[in-house]
Amino acid sequence: MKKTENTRPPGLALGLFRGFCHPDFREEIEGDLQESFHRNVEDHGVRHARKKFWWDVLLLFRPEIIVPIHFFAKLNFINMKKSDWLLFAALNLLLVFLIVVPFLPGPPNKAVIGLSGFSQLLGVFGMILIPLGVVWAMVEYRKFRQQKPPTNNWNNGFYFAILTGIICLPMYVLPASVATYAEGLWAGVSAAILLILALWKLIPQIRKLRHDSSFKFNPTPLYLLSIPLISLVARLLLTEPISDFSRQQVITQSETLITAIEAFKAQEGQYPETLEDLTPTYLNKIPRPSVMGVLRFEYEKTADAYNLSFNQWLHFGATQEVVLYNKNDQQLPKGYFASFDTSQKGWRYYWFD
Amino acid sequence: MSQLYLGEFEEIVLLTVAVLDGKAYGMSIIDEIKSRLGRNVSLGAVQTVLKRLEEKGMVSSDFGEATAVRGGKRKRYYTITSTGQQSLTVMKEQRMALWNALPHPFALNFI
Repeated sequence: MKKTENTRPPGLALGLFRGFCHPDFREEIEGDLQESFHRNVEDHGVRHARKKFWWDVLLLFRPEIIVPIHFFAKLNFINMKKSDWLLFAALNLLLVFLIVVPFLPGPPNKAVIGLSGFSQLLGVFGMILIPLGVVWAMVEYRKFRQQKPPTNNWNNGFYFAILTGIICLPMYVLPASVATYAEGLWAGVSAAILLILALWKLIPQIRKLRHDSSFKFNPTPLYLLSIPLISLVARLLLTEPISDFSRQQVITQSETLITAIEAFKAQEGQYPETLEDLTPTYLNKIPRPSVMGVLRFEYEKTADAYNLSFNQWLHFGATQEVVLYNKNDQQLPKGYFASFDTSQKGWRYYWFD
Repeated sequence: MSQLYLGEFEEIVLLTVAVLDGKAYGMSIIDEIKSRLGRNVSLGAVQTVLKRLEEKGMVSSDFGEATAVRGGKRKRYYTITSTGQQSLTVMKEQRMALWNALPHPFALNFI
């Protein structure tokens, strides 16, 4: 047991649990989580125990366990409606989800890579919106404090909304154009439909703001602050651990493929020319990667061995990570700007622009 | 009666608390359910039910000892209250009444 006592559960999961758990229950449940984690380390190893810990924490997110809403209500000094707060939390969580989704287990899907790249870009270009968000929030707060509608045109939310639209439009059009160029017409048409739907929904609301005489706090500027900041923080904190996780996941999955390739070599005296040569004798079908952002396995026969690889997209969808297996450790890719070892023999990964 | 009503999983957890006789806390309840019923249950499910049972007055709880593997956090031990005992008794009687009402040939066929 002493050895396991030195192993710690994942800090991020523990932090998440401490954040959402009701303070009255936190001590005993955290103790149970830790006890379960140490038992799992002993019985199944650290990796399994960490996975199980995350799962246990997520399953604890239940109405009876989490901090009740009225705890947050005390912080609601701007008197925003509960539905506005819930929408605010949901959209920000969606943003984090979009950033990490290509690294999560699931069927390979090209669209999630683009969505993640776009969501990460909001953490950079979206920074322009922060000063506007601060000024707009201050104007809204002043209106709310004074409990009277704005008297001057300049402090009307309408003009802030127009200005936000003018700034956001190129931020949307530019990546959409890049996606159209890289992926084809379907990406451009999808982006255009999304834009039309957004404008169709937003324009009437913006027009309403022009004649808005209420003195309620308009939550929109909070989004201008939260979206770039959350995107930036999520990218900085999550990209590395989550891409480590997805890389490990696919490496583990590819063991079946490597075993089949080696069986082919043992039987036929040479390595297969393509992965398709393995079916149906050595494999029923070529497995598809189990992570959403990893689209396929690549195989290349070399002089005395072979390279097995897969790609995943990191930072803004612009850095391509190629994870490469060569049993003789003779990977010789060209054009990469950084390379790293993995804990598995024969596996290395490379970053390309 | 409605106050004494228990869901299926609530009944299992309450019975397990009674079986453990003063030694019931989150992990020991999970272990006991697994060893006796062969059923894997999550910590979240057990803790949720314990909080609900405590709110209904069917169990009471007290802090116990802290250990190193628990990161220095104390256990919360649960014990069944008289309301809990009464509820289990009612549930058992209701079930027995239903069992006893089964037509004999049908009951004999599948027992």
